[in-house]
Amino acid sequence: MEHTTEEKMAILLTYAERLQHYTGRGLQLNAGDLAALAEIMVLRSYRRRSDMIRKGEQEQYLHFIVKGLVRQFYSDGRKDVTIHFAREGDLISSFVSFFSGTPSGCQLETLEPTITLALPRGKLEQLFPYSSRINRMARLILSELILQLEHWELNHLRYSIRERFLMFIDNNPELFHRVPHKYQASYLDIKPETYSRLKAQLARKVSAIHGQ
Amino acid sequence: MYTYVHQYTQLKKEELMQLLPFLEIRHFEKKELILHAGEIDNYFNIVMKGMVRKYISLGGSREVTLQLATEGHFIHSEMSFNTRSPSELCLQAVEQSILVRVEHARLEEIMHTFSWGEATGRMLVARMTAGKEQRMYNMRMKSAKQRFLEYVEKHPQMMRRVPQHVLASYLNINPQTFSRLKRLLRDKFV
Repeated sequence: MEHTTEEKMAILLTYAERLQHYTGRGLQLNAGDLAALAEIMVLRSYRRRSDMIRKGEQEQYLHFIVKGLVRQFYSDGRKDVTIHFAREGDLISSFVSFFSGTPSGCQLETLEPTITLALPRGKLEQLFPYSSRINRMARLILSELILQLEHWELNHLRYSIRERFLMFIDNNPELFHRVPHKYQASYLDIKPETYSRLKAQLARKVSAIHGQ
Repeated sequence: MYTYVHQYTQLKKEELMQLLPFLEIRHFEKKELILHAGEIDNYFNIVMKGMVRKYISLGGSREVTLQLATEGHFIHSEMSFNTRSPSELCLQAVEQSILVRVEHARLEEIMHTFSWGEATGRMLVARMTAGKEQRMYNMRMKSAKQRFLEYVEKHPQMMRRVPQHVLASYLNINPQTFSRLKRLLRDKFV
């Protein structure tokens, strides 16, 4: 599968609009920026259950997911903790490693066969001196990540386990079906048994409503 | 301030001098609120002297501290500052503090005006993101004991500078466990 420059630019634009919506600030990429970014974008494809990056490696790509599903997690060999899911239309990377050049603290693995259009690190860095708008894009991507992390922490402090479970399903009905439940439980910081119990409760409620 | 900014960016001294007209210096008394919940955070702060904490109030007297910023650290209510929405978080001076701050609109102006503005902004935000990610890693992967010991080793002076209940909530350790760990540590060194 080959993507034309126009298709790549369309993906970038869609994402730019999303970023603007989320951070409330204009991205202001111009046609030249879009063309330069599209020019360096490469197609990456991963089989189901493959590692996109392991802990300690240096992240080389900023991925725009065209198709598929990715899990971001921390692992120290004993403990495995899911911190994020990314699907079609989302951006995924070990962001801090990508933008700072430090070894990755997290890992990425695909939960489904995944295709991405990716910006390679070295080539993106060569564009930074030429466009303050591309620098701005990088800054807003990182700002969004800070907000995501803060959002998770605040939700975790403010809501009960049950509330977090229901909010997750409400906001991500599709992920509820696509992601293995043990990873959803881990993301929500809920014990797998508790997750199963909450899910069974929910199923009973749903069938009770249908039965009426 | 040059030292603080320089360690995260490649900003030159002359470039930093160009920033001076954009900055304000403010003093805050110990325990003074810098940002109330419900206000839109208009300022990006750098701590020059003292300490500022960012916390959320969860009803009753329950407060959870999310960040402690000392000399050279940056602090603002990210969500509110970035999305221009009312802040759920508060900022408070833990000690008598001096902050250098930049207003939101002025920061955007810096980004537009100077050729190095956006690149410097990117590097500063990368630095702040790394800190936030490290916190998430510590919270989710490490035990309370591990978090306590690592923090005390890295920031021994904070045990004296910060009230114990604030530090306990910052490290997400319940107050009883925190006292027990503190005793354990003291006994070890006696």
